[in-house]
Amino acid sequence: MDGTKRVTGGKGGVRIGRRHFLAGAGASGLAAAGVVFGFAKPALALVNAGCCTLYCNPSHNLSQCETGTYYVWECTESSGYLYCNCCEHGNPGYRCSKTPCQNCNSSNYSSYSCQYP
Amino acid sequence: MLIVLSCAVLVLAAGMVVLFAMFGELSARVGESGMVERSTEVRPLEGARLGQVPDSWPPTIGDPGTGEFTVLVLSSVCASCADIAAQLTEKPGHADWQTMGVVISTSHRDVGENFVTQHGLGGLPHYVDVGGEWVSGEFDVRMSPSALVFRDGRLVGAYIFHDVAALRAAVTGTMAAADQEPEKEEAWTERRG
Repeated sequence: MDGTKRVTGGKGGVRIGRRHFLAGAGASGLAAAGVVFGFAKPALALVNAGCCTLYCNPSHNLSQCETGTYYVWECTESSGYLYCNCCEHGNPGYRCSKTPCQNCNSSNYSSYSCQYP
Repeated sequence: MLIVLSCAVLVLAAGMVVLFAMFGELSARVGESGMVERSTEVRPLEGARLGQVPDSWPPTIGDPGTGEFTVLVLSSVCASCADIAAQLTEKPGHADWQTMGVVISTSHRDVGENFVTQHGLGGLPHYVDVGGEWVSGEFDVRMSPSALVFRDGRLVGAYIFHDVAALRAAVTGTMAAADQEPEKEEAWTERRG
């Protein structure tokens, strides 16, 4: 008897069925996992600093940020008594898919400054 | 025997998935009820150009009309603005607030549009204000979350807020009072200006 005959015989047929069943179960599991997790949109968690939510870990001070191309905006935290200036220099959020952004560098960076009024 | 074991493993795996789903749902509900208490205070925002009639008006935030209209100013860099967006969109939300529009101040258009998408603001009248140029240029407002209240197209109030329901009640109350006592409202506005 060789291996081929064994798998086509009575007991071998059971083995093939078993393999098919397990393969099917595994494939179904992978497919289900793919459906559940594969199509989930990756969450983009920004960097929280005071009441600011920034693309990069703050790496410069506010006065450095407020030069050239920048965007600065003021926010208040939920109690309403802490004020922060949030600044993005350049465009650190450009095509950013995960944080801190891959394109954070000396031209694209974030900064913030908070104070009580 | 192996098939029976495989079935048992599959059933166990399915059970684990259901269990984790239940934990997730439970934690979401506990999170909702145990959220950080936000301030219901609505405070005047100093420095805004009260009395200003804007030269331009983004049509996508709705028509200010001849009555009262409120513009909520959010920013893509403001963490508390995400909470405001959640209050606006999550049940029950404030989609029934017909005289309200949202302005999203942002560094770049794509960043602002991401903010709109991420926080589900697409269903509300909104305008992505690149650089905050419209809000800061017209009203000298560079703060979020804030609310600009218009009457007959004129800015009559600017506020800092963190609770949309409290703001809405305050705006509605202020406007009702203004309808009853226009002289007092005018005097209040002048004092603020």
